[in-house]
Amino acid sequence: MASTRIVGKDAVFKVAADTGAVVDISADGNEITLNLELNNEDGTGFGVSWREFTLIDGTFSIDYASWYATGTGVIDEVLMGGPTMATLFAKRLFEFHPNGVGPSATKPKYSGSVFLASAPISANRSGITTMRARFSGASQLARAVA
Amino acid sequence: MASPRIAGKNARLYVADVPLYLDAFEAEDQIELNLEDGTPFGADWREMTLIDGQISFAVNAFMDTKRPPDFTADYVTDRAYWDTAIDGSNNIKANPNVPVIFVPGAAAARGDPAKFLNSILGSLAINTPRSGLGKLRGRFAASGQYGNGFIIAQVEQSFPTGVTLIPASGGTDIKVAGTTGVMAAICVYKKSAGATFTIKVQDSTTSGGAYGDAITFDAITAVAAQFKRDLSDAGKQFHRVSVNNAGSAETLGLIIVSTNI
Repeated sequence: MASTRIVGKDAVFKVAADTGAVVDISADGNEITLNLELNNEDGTGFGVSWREFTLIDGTFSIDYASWYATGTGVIDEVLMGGPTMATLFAKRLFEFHPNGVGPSATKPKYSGSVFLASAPISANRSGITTMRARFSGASQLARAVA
Repeated sequence: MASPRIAGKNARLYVADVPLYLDAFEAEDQIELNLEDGTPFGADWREMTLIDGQISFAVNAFMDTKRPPDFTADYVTDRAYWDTAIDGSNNIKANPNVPVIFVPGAAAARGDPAKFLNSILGSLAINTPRSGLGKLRGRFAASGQYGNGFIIAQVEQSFPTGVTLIPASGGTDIKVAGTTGVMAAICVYKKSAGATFTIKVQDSTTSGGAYGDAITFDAITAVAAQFKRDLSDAGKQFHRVSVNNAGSAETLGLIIVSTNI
């Protein structure tokens, strides 16, 4: 017997263009990966045969793959920090809803602050132009279900 | 003639107090032994020296919305990873070791081999592709000794008030007596009410007894998982489980694995 799977197409990703409110850019996206990394340091002492680790802290990053699109409020302008790129280097809020907009018991919301780390635009002669954005965490990563 | 193959689909995996195998589709138990080149001058062939060992454990699972094994309570399975290391205020826990129990074999019955480790979450990737299922890729780092043991209890049953032994008579052969002590892990993944249970691993030199206490887990009042290592008792090849219910009869679903060290 299996549980109800969460399908990726229901995911929602919002990120701010600047220091203000988040903007939903999901309509242009096709894949999101939230990477949580916990930094464990080797704290093994003399006399033991198996390594022992101590958890130090955590960090996170987000990989966002999308179709490239231009215009007010869509992905290119949002990620680039507005039409003049005035806020490209701003710390921005984000929200990631893996199972649709929540939060609720079955629709967790991940949120926090990020900096844009990279945003390559790829144009292929025989395909759709795409964009991949990578964000680096700049705050606590929060998980909410209510 | 070849040995019967073990199909991966029958593997079982418990992360902390969650029977995550019911939502997972891939697990890898990675043993790494750290070797250093100790070759001196004058030797034509490199000579390695073993320093120590470490374990990591990767679990890939589907992102689901109900808690296994019953799939009735709302529970998105990213929690099976997240809750091991991060508390309700989104702060990182001080000592977030949790047991992971891995049964790669086919049956997962009492007496079957099982691997277990006390581990810390190292990473979690939550992936939601537009054209696929939401998936979770988690990696744990074992902290301390690796358990290459056996299942000594795997039951879902009602426990009456008082002591129930598993098995009812005799014990489970751990294959080796050991010289240092006993190591065990428990996962109580289902608990129907609120009684307090005291669960022990007991050991003996013969299957028929006499049995004494080797490991006493902390009192269990809700679903829980624990890892214990005790060096006060060693050299006894047969293990059994004592379940003492201090309250009214209730149902537990549990797995306990142990080994002698």
